Amino acid sequence: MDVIVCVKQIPDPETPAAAFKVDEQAMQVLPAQGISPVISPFDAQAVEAALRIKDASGEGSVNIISLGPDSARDAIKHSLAMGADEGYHLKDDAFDGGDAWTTALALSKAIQHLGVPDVLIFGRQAADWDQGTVGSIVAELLDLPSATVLRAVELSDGGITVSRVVADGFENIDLPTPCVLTISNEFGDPRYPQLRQIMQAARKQVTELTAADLGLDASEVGSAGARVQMHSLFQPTSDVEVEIIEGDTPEEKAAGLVNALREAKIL
Amino acid sequence: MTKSAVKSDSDKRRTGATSTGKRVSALAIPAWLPLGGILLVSGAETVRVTGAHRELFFNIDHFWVLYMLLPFVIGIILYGLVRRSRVWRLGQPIVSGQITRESLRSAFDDLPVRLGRLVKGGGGTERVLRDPYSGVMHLCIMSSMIVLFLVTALLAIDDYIPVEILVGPRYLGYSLVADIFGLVGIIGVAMAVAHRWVRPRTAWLPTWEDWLILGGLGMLLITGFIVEGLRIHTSEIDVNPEWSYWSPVGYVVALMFSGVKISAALDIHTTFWWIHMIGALSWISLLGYSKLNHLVLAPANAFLKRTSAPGKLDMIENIEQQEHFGVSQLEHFSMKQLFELDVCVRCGRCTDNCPADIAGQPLSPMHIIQDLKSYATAVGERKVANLVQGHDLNFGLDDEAPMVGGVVRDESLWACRTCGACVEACPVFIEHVPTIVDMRRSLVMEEARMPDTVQGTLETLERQGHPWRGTPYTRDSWMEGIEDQVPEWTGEQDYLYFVGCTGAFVDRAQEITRSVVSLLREADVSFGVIKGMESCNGDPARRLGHEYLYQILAEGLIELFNETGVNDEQKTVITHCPHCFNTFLNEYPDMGAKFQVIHHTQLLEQLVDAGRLVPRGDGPEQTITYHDSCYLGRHNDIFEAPRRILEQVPNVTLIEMPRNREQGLCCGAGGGNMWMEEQGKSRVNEVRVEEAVATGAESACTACPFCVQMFDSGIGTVQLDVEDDDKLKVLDVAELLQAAAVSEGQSDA
Ligand code: SF4
Ligand code: SF4
Ligand code: SF4
Repeated sequence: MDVIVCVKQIPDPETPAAAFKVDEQAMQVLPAQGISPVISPFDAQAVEAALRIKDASGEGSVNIISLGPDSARDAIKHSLAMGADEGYHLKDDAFDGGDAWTTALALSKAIQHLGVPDVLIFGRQAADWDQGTVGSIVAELLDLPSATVLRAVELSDGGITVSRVVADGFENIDLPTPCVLTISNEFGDPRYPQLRQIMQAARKQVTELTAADLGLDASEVGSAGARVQMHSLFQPTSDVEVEIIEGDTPEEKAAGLVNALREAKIL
Repeated sequence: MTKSAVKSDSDKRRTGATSTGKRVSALAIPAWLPLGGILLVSGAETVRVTGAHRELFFNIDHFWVLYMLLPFVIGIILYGLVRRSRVWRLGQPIVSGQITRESLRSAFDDLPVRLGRLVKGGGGTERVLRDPYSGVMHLCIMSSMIVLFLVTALLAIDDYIPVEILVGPRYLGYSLVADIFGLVGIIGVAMAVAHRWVRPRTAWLPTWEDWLILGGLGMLLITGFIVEGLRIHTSEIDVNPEWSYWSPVGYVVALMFSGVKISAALDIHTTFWWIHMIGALSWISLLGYSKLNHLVLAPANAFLKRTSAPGKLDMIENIEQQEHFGVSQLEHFSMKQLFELDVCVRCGRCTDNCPADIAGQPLSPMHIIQDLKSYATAVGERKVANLVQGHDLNFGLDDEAPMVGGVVRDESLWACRTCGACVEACPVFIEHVPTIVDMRRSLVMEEARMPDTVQGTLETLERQGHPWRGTPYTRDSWMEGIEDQVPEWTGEQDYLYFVGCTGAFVDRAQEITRSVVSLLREADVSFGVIKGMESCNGDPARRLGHEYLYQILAEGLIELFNETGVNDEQKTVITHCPHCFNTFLNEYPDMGAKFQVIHHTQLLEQLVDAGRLVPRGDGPEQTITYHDSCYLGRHNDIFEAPRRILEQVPNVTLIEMPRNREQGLCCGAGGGNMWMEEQGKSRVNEVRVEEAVATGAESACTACPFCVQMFDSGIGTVQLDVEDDDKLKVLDVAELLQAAAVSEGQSDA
């Protein structure tokens, strides 16, 4: 079964809050010192899902597409090291300043350019802006059925059976192929690449594609084509007040806590 | 500036530690005692017994058969050893290189150190003597065998040379010595049997080998006395009774036979003589086929053991060009590592001292070595056969359980703290740690198979340059509020204080970092800190088996040190983390490091000695027990510096835990276990905290940020029901010294 996974390179979500800074004027996130960007964790899980589909079907390919600046190559290389076959990097100054819509547009063109595969997989959302819309927009643009926020994916007769995470449990769905899936963290940990694969991935060529290669005009993508306008970007401050509840015994402390919670109208 | 940290391999020179006292040189006893005995008797008895002697082959015909058998026996022994050596030679000449003159030389570098170890540890069985019971037992058997061998050889020589040595009083002295050591041997064998019967350690269960070797030796000694007794009964007791007193045991045996007719006794004598001799030859043949081979292999292994610091791991050179990473097949081990498997005598000392085993976790170093040995026997021999027949090495071996993951289980490899207690305890100088880490390397780099916690740690190291996943801190959080008191490294100062990841990212360890800075300032040391730019030196990656990541991190840090002028023979790096210390001192030279390294306890000791830090006597009386960090103590021989600091703080009384110094028990954090989930009955830190609590000390002091954390969390469970004020307190030596030696106004820096 042929699978394409779209991945994104993001600032490490494990960056400690103290090291996380934004430039409010330029409305940009400043890279934290000494902490390199990483593949979005949900996307790594998406690659894992793709590799398992390929293994289960016993044939096919897993190809990777990523849109972004130079550093996006690392997300592609990481996916290749995990075991993906080929990588495609959508790289063009024209893509700068885009939003979910322009990203989805460029990705869908790239997918058509490569040939629509049996399954298209995304992470449920990129762990930087947490919008979670690109996968669904691509599904619309390509007119494919989709299932989002999945915790399990299995091959079934002539299609795919998935399990969605919903507010009160799980939802199991059968989909025909081709289809679009987005993977949630409940799916499980992605594999750690073997050193040999990391080294092979380092040597592998990544194909670069520009807007023109995809038949896109610079006015359709990047900031020119964006449909979302950012008004301001800032780090919220939160005031925390700490009240220590005194008491000689655990029982007294617990009673004090209950009273305090009642007073605060939480209980 | 200190030179105590100059790289080198001899133990005492690297550090300021002192030796812990002389041990008896066991070799001296078998050598001098018999000679003394002979001289004594010849002096005392010169007049009375001038003619005393005996025949070599008294009452024996066809003794030449014996001489015919001798080369045959030697052949059998050699055959066994040579056959085994084909398995050893499956291994790599050195850890990862080709056979070059260099690699051969590396097995013989530091010749004096190796020879010293050969004599003291191999011949003198230094380590066996640490346990009094086994020490005495082993000494009895060993001295008896050596003396009886010499005695027999002497008798034969005497028979074939024209001058007679063994005559008169000399002969009598000789008889006495032989008898005494025969008896000593029997005592030794009895002790060994009792040991196995009465108090077998959980770690080792005696097998057929034990009984065959001990039973055989016991039989030899007993039949020897029977033969002697019968000879005395038939030829001596009536003619020269005063001679027989010099063979006391033989004399008693002769008395027991006194009712037997001489002719019958002569027949019995012949029979027993042959049983004794054939038995001796068969028994000695076990040398090629059983753990009796330690007679030869143990001294050889004492010689072959690495002379580098025990905490050093060997580098995989040209890692990008390797065909495999770490060890997943027998032939990936070095020859030395395969050889070592055959040296193990299954004594269980390693396992008895292993923190993981003590805590009931799934690791026994003895079983790792023994299981690998069985595997080398079963599979190694088939690989050798494949080679001989021109097949692929692994031909027909597909169905065998894999070595890593099958023969040695993953969880055993992960439970290892690389603490080196096993290596320190092993009487035959086996090095378990490199063998365990080599297999980890294959798990991580070859198979990418590891616990989630390990994966998380490695990913954090890759991405953030430190192992503390989820920390809310940055590199410089620890200096918040005191930035101006922390001098920035300019390249001009004498010392770089390398804070390390733990000192920066873990709140409890940040306090230690601040204490160190405060002490350095108090003593007016010329030092600086590289603010914001430090990265992990790679130790956690390396111990976890990710050699490649280690090399990347180490290269990065060395580059930073080069750029900032740290990598210079005139500069010294201070670390308060023994793991950083060990890596910088012993492993970074392979990566091109030139700087000196000093642990904060070494420097603080010097500063106290020089009067630049003066501990005041106004603190409260306190009792303290010192916990040795494995990477400071056992791996780098720094036992005394921290203790001497504590001793110089007035009002402090130092109490030792039963396991201390070389025998100290790991806190459980080493080998990357700081970041792993422990599996098994209990946790290592709880075991160690219980030992500390049992001393009755109010505080436990240590010199490692990992140990402090492990103690803190261990106290949480061990002393769950104890009032906070009465709980064991845990301090780094620097914190204790700061409280005593830094005046109040300064102490927040
Ligand atoms: S190094 Fe320590 S933990 Fe590892 S096997 Fe040896 S004694 Fe056990
Ligand atoms: S490895 Fe050493 S300590 Fe362990 S059982 Fe074997 S001989 Fe004894
Ligand atoms: S080795 Fe040193 S730098 Fe690395 S984790 Fe340990 S404390 Fe940090």
